[in-house]
Amino acid sequence: MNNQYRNLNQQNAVHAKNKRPLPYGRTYHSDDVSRFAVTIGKPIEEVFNFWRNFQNLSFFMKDLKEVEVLSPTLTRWVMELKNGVKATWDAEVTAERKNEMISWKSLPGSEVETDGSVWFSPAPQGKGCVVSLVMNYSAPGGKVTEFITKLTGEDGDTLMQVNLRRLKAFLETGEIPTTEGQPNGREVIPELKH
Amino acid sequence: MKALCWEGKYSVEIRNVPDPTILNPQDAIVKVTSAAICGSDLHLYDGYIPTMEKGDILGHETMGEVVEVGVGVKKLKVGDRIVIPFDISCGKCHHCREEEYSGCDNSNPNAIMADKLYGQSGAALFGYSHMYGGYAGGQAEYIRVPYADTNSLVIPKGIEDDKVLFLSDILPTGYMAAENCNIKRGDTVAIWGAGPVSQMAVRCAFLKGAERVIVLDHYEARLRMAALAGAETINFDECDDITEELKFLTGGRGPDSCIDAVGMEAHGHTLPASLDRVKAAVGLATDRPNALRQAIQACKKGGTVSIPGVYGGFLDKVPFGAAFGKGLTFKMGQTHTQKYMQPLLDLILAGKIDPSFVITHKLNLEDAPKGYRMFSDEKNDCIKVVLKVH
Repeated sequence: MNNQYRNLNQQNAVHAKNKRPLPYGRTYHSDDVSRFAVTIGKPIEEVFNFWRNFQNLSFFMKDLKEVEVLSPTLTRWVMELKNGVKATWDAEVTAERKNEMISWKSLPGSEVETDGSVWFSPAPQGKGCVVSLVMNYSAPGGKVTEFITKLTGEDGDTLMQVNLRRLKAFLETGEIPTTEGQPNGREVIPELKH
Repeated sequence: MKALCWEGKYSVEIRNVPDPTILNPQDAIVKVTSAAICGSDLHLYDGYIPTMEKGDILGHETMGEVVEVGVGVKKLKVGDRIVIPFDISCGKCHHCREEEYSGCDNSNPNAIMADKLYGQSGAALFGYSHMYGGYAGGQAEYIRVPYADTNSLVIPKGIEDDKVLFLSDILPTGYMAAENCNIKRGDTVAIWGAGPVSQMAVRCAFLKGAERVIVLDHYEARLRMAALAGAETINFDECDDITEELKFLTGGRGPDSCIDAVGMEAHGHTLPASLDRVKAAVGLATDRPNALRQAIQACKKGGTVSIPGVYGGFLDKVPFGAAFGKGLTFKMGQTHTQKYMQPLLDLILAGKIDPSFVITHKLNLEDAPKGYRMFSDEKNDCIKVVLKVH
């Protein structure tokens, strides 16, 4: 093995705040644990500002009922499922570079442990802004794992993909596509049933 | 309201369901006047499209009158008479701005399903399975139309429904099929299938400058309908070797372009009934692309195969060596309906095309289940069913 490869193998994961800006058009850092990205047809500043106003996150993150901004770096997250099960945790911003990245982490002792990072980089050909998201959830009691599973019928990765799609739809069109509340033949009015 | 609901394989019923309401700012509610049954509705009727749920309202060829608009609707007004495209597009994403409307990024709330099956999700469709968004369709008294400014074409007063209804799907689909053929003046186009999309494609191919159009099917009435537009016809039940026959008819060269207007229906198909089963059956599930095989085999060197026929899964024994050996071009996909509606309306208003010729049956909404049965079982006589709703 030549030196170049040996060096690669010896590299440790770099904490988000120590990472260099992404090269133009690139989506990922080489050590990102999760690789989900979406291209949003809006200027990078607009997308960054939307995300940095953390109360906006509840507009598109599935079942995230509210994000309360307690201070410029401290937020309270409230997640609620349709069945009424709730989880609340406080998170702090651990790193931030304007129009480039934001990292956050739940405070020690929260009922769920979660951290996440989001990166913003310019998309090629004037296609707007690439947003890539990494979110980790762990809960000693398994509460959030159960949460996430119930949320998507799948796993945390799927939830991230869904959330990125919803962010894109919201920023590009001003609404999130839905069919919830539309009619169907499963709720038949009995007396008129054929 | 009354709506036609999918109840399972070979079973559709009229049910009384709640009226649709505005769910998003750019929605409109439309009082349906006419709704057609599409050949692709038969895929649902036959139970081959995965992610259908009992009670889903069908229908994606719809027109009517706007009765309510959301606060985010800018152009459309209450009272407008509109045709609704079968695909639902946001009008704002990269693909919509490129007029690739059926590739819309944003309209499908269940995009994750198609993402996993196809690598990317296309636009949502009305009344066409939950993988394609699960939106309630238009074979009903009312329909909710998302992104209403994009998904509508206002029809001028004084022109009857039957002349413009097919702007919702089969006319743009037939047109795009012909456009995808790269027709040059004097070309010969062969079309597999003589169903409604094929009937539109025949006329559009002539409009685009084709000199000859050859249509293959085995329903005589459908072939006669194609012949009325000037097509030559082949009943493939009476033809031993279609490639040889087409070669003979084209001086040994083969048709300049070939349209597969049949799709996975050619000999039925076996798309598993749920996404999980699709995953489980990877490598086993196959559509039956008989029309496509023949189209590839028959096409001239350097020619184009245009595929408006719907495919869903995996294809077996596609003669890709022939495609490569002859340097064929393939063009396919769901129609970018919104792109074609206005120019085709202009052609209708100018008297260049009148798609109402294809209608063989008009029924009330209540009789829609009968319409499905006829369309499924009596393909010779029943070519296009239109439901009159209001």
